[in-house]
Amino acid sequence: MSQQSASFKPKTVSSVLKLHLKNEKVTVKKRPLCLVTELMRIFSKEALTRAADQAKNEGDSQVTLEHFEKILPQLLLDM
Amino acid sequence: MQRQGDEGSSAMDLNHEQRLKAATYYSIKQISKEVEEDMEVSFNPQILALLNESLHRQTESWAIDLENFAKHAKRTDVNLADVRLLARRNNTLLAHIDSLIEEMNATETENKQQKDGKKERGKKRKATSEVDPDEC
Repeated sequence: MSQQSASFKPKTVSSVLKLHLKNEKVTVKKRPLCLVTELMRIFSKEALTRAADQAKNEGDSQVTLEHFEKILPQLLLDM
Repeated sequence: MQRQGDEGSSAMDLNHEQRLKAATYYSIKQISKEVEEDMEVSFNPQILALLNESLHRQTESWAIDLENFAKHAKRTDVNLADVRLLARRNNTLLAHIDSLIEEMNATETENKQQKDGKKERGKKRKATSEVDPDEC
């Protein structure tokens, strides 16, 4: 799956989700948790890749906040 | 990232949410190293902080969505179908999620076959529904 590339720890993801759940009775089992972890990994990787692309298109090798700000709206729409 | 009690008093002062943000920041840093290598660019550290913040906002809305999807189906546990609904608007992402679900189902049946082979270990298998800190 995603073992080769860097990803988040399922335990961290579980804690983050629990932080935001309104109803304490709601639980997230292992397999759905893995999928949410993968979603978070994709979100981060996609954001960084798009920002890097944006910087390259503008001829920079240093990615700055300006590049990130440009790709953020479309990224949020795509997720 | 294992957070130990003897990590130092400054780390202990952080509240729960800040510690979680530190943990995700660490993972984002690792992912950024991969992208830096692949694309031969370098990221301003501010980007990682901003991305971390965006990720937390995004995860918050995911958590609320998941909770409501489960509630709508009159369940109290979030299952795979709920996570599929999160990705419903992005077809490529949905296809990716589906392939992962299929992969999970494949390993599941494999495990079941192994379990049938040695029934005395059946009790241990029940632990797989618990959260494993390291593996997915």
